Amino acid sequence: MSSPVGRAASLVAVALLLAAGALGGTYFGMAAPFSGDVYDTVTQGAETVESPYGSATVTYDRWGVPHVSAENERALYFAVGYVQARDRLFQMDLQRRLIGGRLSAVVGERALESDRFHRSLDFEGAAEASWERVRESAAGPSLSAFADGVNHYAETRPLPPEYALLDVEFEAWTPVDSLLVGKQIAWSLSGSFTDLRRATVRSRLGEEALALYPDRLDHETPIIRGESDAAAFDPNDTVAPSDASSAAVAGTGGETDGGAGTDADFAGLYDRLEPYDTRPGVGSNSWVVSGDHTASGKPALANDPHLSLTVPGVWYEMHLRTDGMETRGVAFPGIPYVVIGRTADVAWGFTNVGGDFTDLYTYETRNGSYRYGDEFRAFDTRVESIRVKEGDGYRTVNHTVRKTVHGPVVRRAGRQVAVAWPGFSATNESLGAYRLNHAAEINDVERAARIWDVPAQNLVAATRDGETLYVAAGKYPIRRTDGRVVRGDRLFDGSAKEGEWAGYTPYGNSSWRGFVPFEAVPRVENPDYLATANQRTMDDPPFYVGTGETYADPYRGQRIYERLDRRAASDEPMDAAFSRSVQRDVRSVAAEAFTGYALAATDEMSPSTREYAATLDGWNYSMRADSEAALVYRLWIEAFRNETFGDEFAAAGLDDDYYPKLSVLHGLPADSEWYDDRSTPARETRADVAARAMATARERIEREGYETYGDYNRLDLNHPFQRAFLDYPERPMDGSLFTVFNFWNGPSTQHGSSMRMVVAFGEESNLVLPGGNSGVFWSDHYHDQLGLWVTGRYRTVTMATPEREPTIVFESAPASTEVDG
Amino acid sequence: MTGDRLAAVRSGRGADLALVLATVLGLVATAVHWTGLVLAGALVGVVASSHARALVHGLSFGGVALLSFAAWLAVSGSLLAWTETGQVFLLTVATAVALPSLAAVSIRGIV
Repeated sequence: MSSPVGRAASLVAVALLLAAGALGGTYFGMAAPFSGDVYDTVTQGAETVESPYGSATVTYDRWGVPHVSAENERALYFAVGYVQARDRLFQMDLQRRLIGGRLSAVVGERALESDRFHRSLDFEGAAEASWERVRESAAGPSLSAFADGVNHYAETRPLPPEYALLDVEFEAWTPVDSLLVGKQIAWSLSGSFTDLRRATVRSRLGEEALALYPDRLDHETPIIRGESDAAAFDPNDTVAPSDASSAAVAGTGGETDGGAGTDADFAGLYDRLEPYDTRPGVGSNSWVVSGDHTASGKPALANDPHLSLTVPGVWYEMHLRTDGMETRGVAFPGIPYVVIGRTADVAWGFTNVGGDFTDLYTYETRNGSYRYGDEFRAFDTRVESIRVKEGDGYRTVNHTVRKTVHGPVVRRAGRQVAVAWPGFSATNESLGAYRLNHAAEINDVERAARIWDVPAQNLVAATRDGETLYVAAGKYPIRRTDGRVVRGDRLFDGSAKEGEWAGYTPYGNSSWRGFVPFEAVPRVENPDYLATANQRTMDDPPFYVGTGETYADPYRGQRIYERLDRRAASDEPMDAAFSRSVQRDVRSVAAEAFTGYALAATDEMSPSTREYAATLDGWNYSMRADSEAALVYRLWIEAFRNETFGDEFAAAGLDDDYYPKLSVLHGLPADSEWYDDRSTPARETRADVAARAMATARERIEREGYETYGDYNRLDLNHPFQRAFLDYPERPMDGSLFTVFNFWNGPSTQHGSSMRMVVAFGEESNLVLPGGNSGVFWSDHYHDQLGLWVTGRYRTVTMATPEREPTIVFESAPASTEVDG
Repeated sequence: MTGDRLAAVRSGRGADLALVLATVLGLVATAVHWTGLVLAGALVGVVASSHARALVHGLSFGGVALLSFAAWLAVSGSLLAWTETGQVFLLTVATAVALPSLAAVSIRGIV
């Protein structure tokens, strides 16, 4: 018989248990030992999987890289979909949600603004148009099989722990989702609101401020230093928009309701769009070396794309093999193809062409319509519902998507512009990657480059047979106003039909007839050696490519060519070890250029500040984590830039996103008025600003307790889920935005070498990722390469499959199995 | 089960065996679903000779479940990672200890 105390204890326990079950069931289901959803993926052992397309095997190597072998292509890509889902499903899902404007349904209110932006630009419509174009091509079946593989995994295997932590479901993957991921990459590399920034600077700081944004940066190291092998081309010979003759119709003088001239102030709009503008750290390095400069007599190629450093990393490494095709390299999770890598006989790499591929159009508007030539047209309008997660449920927010004849409209604070970007059209980049994965000779690379549209890329390639190639592949719009060819570095009056592109159909099939033909884009056939680092493509291209704002500062390009030139002049070969050493190079040409400014100003400094400046005297300009001089330089140059432009820009309400390029700052004369501090009666010069910046750097170093560069320049990569245990370990880093060994610790995101690859046909090849190949937290490969990457070391990669039992065996499903797509 | 038989299981010669059986069955249930922890608590509680013993049995089962879980993670190479999961780690420990303990004390008042 229970005692009264015992009975009371039981009653209390029952009550607590019922309350816990009612209130905490979700949490218990997530974290209970053994059965908790977050532990579902702790063990990922050997599996046998039914495939509707045929047999395949997947053998993971010691770095978690899947080696996929299949009896046919569809079986191969079904297996690829399955393994990408196994290793990166949540990341893939998040990416498609981000660019499709469906992130709020998972993370709530904080993603609503992002969803509004991405819905406004209707990337999903663009991806659907691309799918309609490629579904009947050779790439179509592989995209369908890949989607089936992803869904088969999601239906039959445990989902990654993030789903349990967020309490969300996985929705079926489609081929359009793969193309949507491609649109996201393309936009991040070539979508730009630079023209808005420029217009805002002009309206706030006056026409003279535009001298800070020159058409051409002052340097002599373009990608093509000699002659381009492109065909002769005159943009005036291209087709003009069909009705351009009516371009100069005068305004109606009607009342406007949000329209604006091209000389208006667009700061409010740009502030909204700035998070989605091309990031300052996005850039890349690549070089290709012919067999004349290697010991083996075979070409070599190196590539390290500088993208956002994320958890998990942006790249997924894989090795794929089936009849008539073998490729190894890195893919964006969600895309079935190797994007950068090699086949047995061909290697290729990409860097971004720093061109201008986005145009913005303003309109005279009235009663919800916009003027286009001599008529008012209704905006093509659609109201979409955005689901926003809120507590255990959702709320719905309506969002109006508006388009004009030029493209989608973005608006804020009474300002709106339509956006033209080749990627809003049906595009072929998936088919281009598919072709590269099948390349056996340089002509196959040409075939891929010919159809490549977005993002325009500096494509370098090398073959085992000894050929090398550079081509700036992509679609380059020719803009016309009143029938005349014009540059694209300004806002266009859409009502007057300014700056239109012939042959461009957003969300449909473009003919590209008014664009630069492939034969005319910059190219070099069989270069001895050639390097790209997002700098100016060539000195005098026959058509408008970009401006000093869209191209990168020249420092990385200069340093790479400096190393290659010196090596070529020596008796030493440009072997794989040499390429690796260049990728590890931390000497800053920018520091070399600017340090003299600091040292020349020591007379203006206090004794304590002068001590800091003295560390730069005799420094070798190496941005190493253990360097005190690198710390002083980095904090000084940041302060120097702020001290130079901060007073004028801040007074105009413009933050440092509007500052000009570093090389422009370097070129300012010592008595430039930009050095003058408007708040003082005196006229300051470069030396005054340099001294003041050094004092600022000293104060910051002392306040923060920094001792070396690595105390400030730290790798701090966090999972988007904001759970500390999902983050990568923090590390001090070498490198900067302007060194070949690239790393930039921005205030909100970090950028750098998103992978490093060296392919040398005559010897070994190498690759390393900034993290690991698995996005599953429990995996041994979650960040097993991080230490190698941080310290500039590599893995050796070959085209051999590890000799061990396959981890996953795909067996042909019975013939009755229905195959979708 | 009659009161006499239950009393014999709780304090007779087979009490230890009953507890071991309850623990094994409880672990199997725990591996299937989180409510298995409640069932496990009920099983080890029902063979306890008193409310106090039921609480001890519940706490002990929680400890055994956690040790078994840690061993499984260690074999899978994920033990260290688990300890780094912060709130998830604490939630797992709290779940493993609280649910069987409450269930054990609850059942002892019913049966």
